[in-house]
Amino acid sequence: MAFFPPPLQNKPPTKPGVGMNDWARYVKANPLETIVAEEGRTAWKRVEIVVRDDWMMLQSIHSSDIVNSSPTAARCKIQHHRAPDEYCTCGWYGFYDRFHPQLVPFLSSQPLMEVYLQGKLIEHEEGVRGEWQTPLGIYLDHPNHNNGLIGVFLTSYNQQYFSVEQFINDIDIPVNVGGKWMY
Amino acid sequence: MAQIGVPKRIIETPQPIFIPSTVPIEWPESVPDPMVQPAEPVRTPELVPA
Repeated sequence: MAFFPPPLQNKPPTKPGVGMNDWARYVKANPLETIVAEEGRTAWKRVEIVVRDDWMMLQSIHSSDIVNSSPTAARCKIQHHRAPDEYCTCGWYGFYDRFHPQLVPFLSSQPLMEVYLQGKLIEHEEGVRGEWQTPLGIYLDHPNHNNGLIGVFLTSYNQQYFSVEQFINDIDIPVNVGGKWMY
Repeated sequence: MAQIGVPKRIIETPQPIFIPSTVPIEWPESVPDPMVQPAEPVRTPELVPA
């Protein structure tokens, strides 16, 4: 007699808010209230420095979307609706706390960035999802980042060294190096 | 996927304002403007049977 594994419905239920599809289940059980505000809010996130042949750009480490210096709209790649949606996981992500454990510096090619989220916002317990994202500044706080005049980036894909000046020239976003702003 | 907890509420805030550039776009002389119609229609040379 052959052995067949149990169907997926026999999996134990996960805690609400842990899995991706549990957000829709949670929102159906607890409908969200909608309020209108005059201004958006700032949040913190990690970005990835992607090195091309002779220039650099930024990507979101969670969605792999390119981060521009200008306001950029989020788009849902799953259901193609307005992002973010309360029954989906799309949108620009950000954490309230700058010292959140999920934002600890791990790679020197993943600096911390403060963003300004506008449009439709969905507030979560520890973070927020937004429709429009505008980068405010990048904080080079990793120990591999040189705290002096010439910073060093050790990228994860091809290990090369770049200067902060070239980084600022390519991404066009203010950079905070050791508490000093560089434009 | 970042774990940011369960959703709590929805906030509708105004969209970002895009200020258009006041510098007019200079169209080079060598390239004809497609929005301006030519004064005379361009006539193709007639085919003469040999």
